[in-house]
Formats: sequence, C-alpha cells, structure tokens
Amino acid sequence: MDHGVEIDLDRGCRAILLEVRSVSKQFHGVRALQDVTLSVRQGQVFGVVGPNGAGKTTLFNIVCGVYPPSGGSVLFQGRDITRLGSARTARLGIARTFQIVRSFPRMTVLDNVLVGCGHRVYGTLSGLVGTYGREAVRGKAMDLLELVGLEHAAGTLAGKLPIALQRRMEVARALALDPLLLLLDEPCAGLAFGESQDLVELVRRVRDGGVTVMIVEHNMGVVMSLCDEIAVLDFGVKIAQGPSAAISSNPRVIEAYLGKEA
Amino acid sequence: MGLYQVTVAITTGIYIILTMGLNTITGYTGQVSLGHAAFFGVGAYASAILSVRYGFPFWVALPLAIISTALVGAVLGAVSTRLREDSLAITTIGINFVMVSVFKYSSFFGGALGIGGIRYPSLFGHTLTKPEYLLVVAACVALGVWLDRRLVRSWLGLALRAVGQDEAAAESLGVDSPRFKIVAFMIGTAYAGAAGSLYAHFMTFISPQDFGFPMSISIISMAVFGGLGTLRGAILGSCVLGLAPEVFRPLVEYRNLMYGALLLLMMRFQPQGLIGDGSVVWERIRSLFASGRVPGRAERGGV
Repeated sequence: MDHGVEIDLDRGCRAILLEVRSVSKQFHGVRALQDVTLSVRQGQVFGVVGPNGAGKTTLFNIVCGVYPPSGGSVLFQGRDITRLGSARTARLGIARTFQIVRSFPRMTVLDNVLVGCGHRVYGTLSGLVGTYGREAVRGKAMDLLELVGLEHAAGTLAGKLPIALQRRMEVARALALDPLLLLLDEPCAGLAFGESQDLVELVRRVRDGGVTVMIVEHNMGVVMSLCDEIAVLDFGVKIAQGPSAAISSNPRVIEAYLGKEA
Repeated sequence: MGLYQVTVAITTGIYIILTMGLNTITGYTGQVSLGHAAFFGVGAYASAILSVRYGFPFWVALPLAIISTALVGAVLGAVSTRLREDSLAITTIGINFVMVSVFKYSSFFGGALGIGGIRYPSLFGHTLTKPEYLLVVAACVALGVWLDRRLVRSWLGLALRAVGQDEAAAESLGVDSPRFKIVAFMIGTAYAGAAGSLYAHFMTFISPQDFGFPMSISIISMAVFGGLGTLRGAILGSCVLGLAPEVFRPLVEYRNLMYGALLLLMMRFQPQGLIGDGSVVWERIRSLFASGRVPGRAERGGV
C-alpha cells in the first residue's frame, strides 16, 4: 500500500481512466520503480513530480507500453494493457510527448500530424494503401495545428522549427490520435517563461476538450497551476499523492526536494 | 538505336528497378541494407530455375520470382526488427555472402558454373528481340515508378517514412514498427526479385558472382549518389552510375573503386545526394521553379 498521504478528492462520480497497480521496474538490478500504485480519473490533469531519477519517465514509458514492468500491471478503462506494446497502446487512446522532442524532421509539420491521424488505418491492411491526408483528414490535422498555433507552419519541414514550436507540434501530433489520455513528459523543459505560460494555456484547452492529462514536470509553478492532483515519486517510490495545495505543504515532499531540516 | 545502346538501356533499366527497391528499404524506411544484391540473386535464380528446370514461360516465372524474393525478404525483415542500424548493416552484408555461397556450393543452384540456357521470353510463339525486350524492361520500370508514387502517397508510405525518421515517435503514434519494417523489406526485395528475373532472361546465363557484395555496393552507391529517400534520386543515380562505365570505357576496371570513392565523397560533402531533398542542386532547381509562383516555397508541403 501507499506510504504517503492520501486525501480523498471527492470525485467518486468520475470514472477511473488509468490504474497503475503496484508497478515495479528494474534495469539491470537498479530499482527504477518500486510498488507504485496510482489511479487517474477522467477529466483530471494529473501531475507526477519528483527529483531527477525518481522514476517519472520510467512510469510514463510503462504506461505507454514502451517496455513492460518487472512486476505489477497497468489498466486502462479497466482493461489490462500491461504488455500491449507501444503502438497498440497508442491506438487504444494513450498519446504522449517526449522529454526530448522527437519529430519526423524531414517531413512537413502537417505530415507529422497526419502520421497520428492514421491510427485507425495502421492495424488494417486495406486502409494502408489508401491515399493519406485526403480532404477530411487534412482538415482535422489543420484544426489541430490551429489549436497549437502552428497553422502557418504547416508546410515547413519539422526539423527546421525551433524547439518550442516542435513541442507544440508534438502535442498536436499526439492529439491526432484522438486520445482519451495524454501524457506530457516535461513539456516545459528548455522553454522560456513566456513559452511555458503558453504551454500551460494549451494544456488547459486540451483538458477542456475532454482529454485527461498526465504530466511530468519539474517546473513547480506550472505543476501547481495546472494539476488537480499530484503524485510525488522519490527513488522510485510514491511518497505522496493528493491535491496540489496539500502536496506543496507535505513535509515528506519538502524533504525529498530540499533535504531534511537540520 | 544500335544493339549496344539497347543492351546498355536494358541494364540501366534493371539498375533503376534495383535502386527503387533499395530506396524503399533504406531511403524511406531507414533500414540500411548492404546486401541488396542477394535478393537480386534470389529473383534471378528463382526465375532461371523455374524457366530452365520446370519449363515455365518468362511471364509466369517473373511474378513467381517476385513473390519468392519478397518472401525471403520478409525473413530478413523479421530479423531486422531485432537489429539496429550498424548491426543491421553488417548482418545484411553477411546475408549477401551467405546467399552467394549457397548459390555457389549447392548443386540445386548450379554450383559455381551457375545456370545457363535460360530462354529469352517469347510471346505467341515469337521470341522477343532485344529492342522488344527493352520495351518489357521499360514497362517494368514504369510500373515500378507508378507503384512507388502510389506508395509514397499512401498511409503505408507515410508510416514507413515515420519509422525511418524516428521509430519511437512512430510507435507512440500507433505505427507498429516491426510490422512496417517487414513490409518495407518485402516491397524492396520484390523490386529486386523483378530485376533479377529480368536480368536472368536477358543474360540467359547467371552465375553466383553476379550477385556478390560489390553489386550491393553499386546499388547503394546509386541510391546515395542520386539522393537517398527520393525516387528521382534513385533514377538519376542509377542512370549516371550505370552509364558512367559505358561512357568512360577505361573506368570499367576501376568501377568498384569509383563507386567506393563516390560513396565516401557524397557522405562527406553532400549526404543528401545529388538531387535529394535539401541538396544544393535540388534547392537550386526548386528555387528556379518557385520564383514564378507567388506564395513560393512555403506552399509546397501544405498541398
């Protein structure tokens, strides 16, 4: 069970979208995650914070199916997705961005988004030979680019965009999956203050559009202003979970971040 | 056109088909294959054996050769999903040597002497002349070009390019990269199978060394020289490098040296190839054509 503080959010009416059940992960004997349990409810912005090396990205990768956990399981809409693999997990509706931006550099920004739009086709055989990016699909991709403010850059090669804009493109691309859950891995890393503010606005808009968001972020200002609920990881263990306000005053969290008081 | 020119044109056509196939695997999908000649050989031997031993006409042997080569390609594709970049490149070299040895030491494939007596294709009882055979090759090139354009415009082509440019990102968007890599290998080796069949029935005699590692290097040099990842690059590369030894006769002896040196020079100074996306020459050409249009360059990708 959890060691940390659990505060009931009185959100029982909202269904649980994602459940991480006592997940552990070891890399060559190094324990990256130990017995982490948490659940994300529909419509939340759920933050995962913790010092460097706490296991946040490992947790994301397990949820996204990049690699399976050493122990425990992941449930999405009640369905076990623990060993589904990255692509199938994505097609079920879990989208993600990367800590270090990963674009398709020699494709246009629009084509980058269109790759995400193809998620209904990739599992089939017949759909694959159809021409990509016909009118309707391209309209959808352009709408997404407009949402992130990149409609003017649709024809630019993605590799030529500055990082801040590639981040936005990644969000548009992830949303092209029509996800139920969007995982953002340090979306503000390397961004200037103003750019971070824009990104916070964008995440709000995404949530208002009905997408549940799970976010790893170092910038505490961003986390506090965005997240409804926060889980704190330290050395691969969840040490606290609760609403933002309660977390920032939790002594265990302060200790993990700032060290023990003398 | 004299018979010599016809022969050169047929050879160039076969090179174009080979390079288009490699371009699908290495250009679009980013899977470095240094053993493409092995599949050229599989196609040639399949077609030769079907024709000589089992009496199939060329028109039946050709599609069967394509299918069997694609199946062998699927096996390599399946292997490739477990390997990354450099180890895949080395594995494909190994596969090339293994295939040549199989052709050379197995009596089923005619051993070191190869297979002779492959019939020239005939149509309604009339054996095709060389110029007529050139038409067959040209038709195959045209079909290959058309299929390549279809591929590039399809969801499949988009997914292949996504895998080629960032595998993890492609996976995160629902593209199962192992499956798509196998498909890429099947398509690319199918092209090689067609080229092999055309080659076997043109030469009427094939032997293992036709399909060795130097041939693989020639094919990849053509793709890289023209511009990896573009159809126009594949075609230009095979035309230029295919014709160069014919035009500069004394070069024939140094063919491999020339290809190797070119490969190095291109990698160092113009990795995009002669007319690949973003290469100096191609940017020039594009700006020449774009200058007349009002919105210019930005318009292009949006369409």
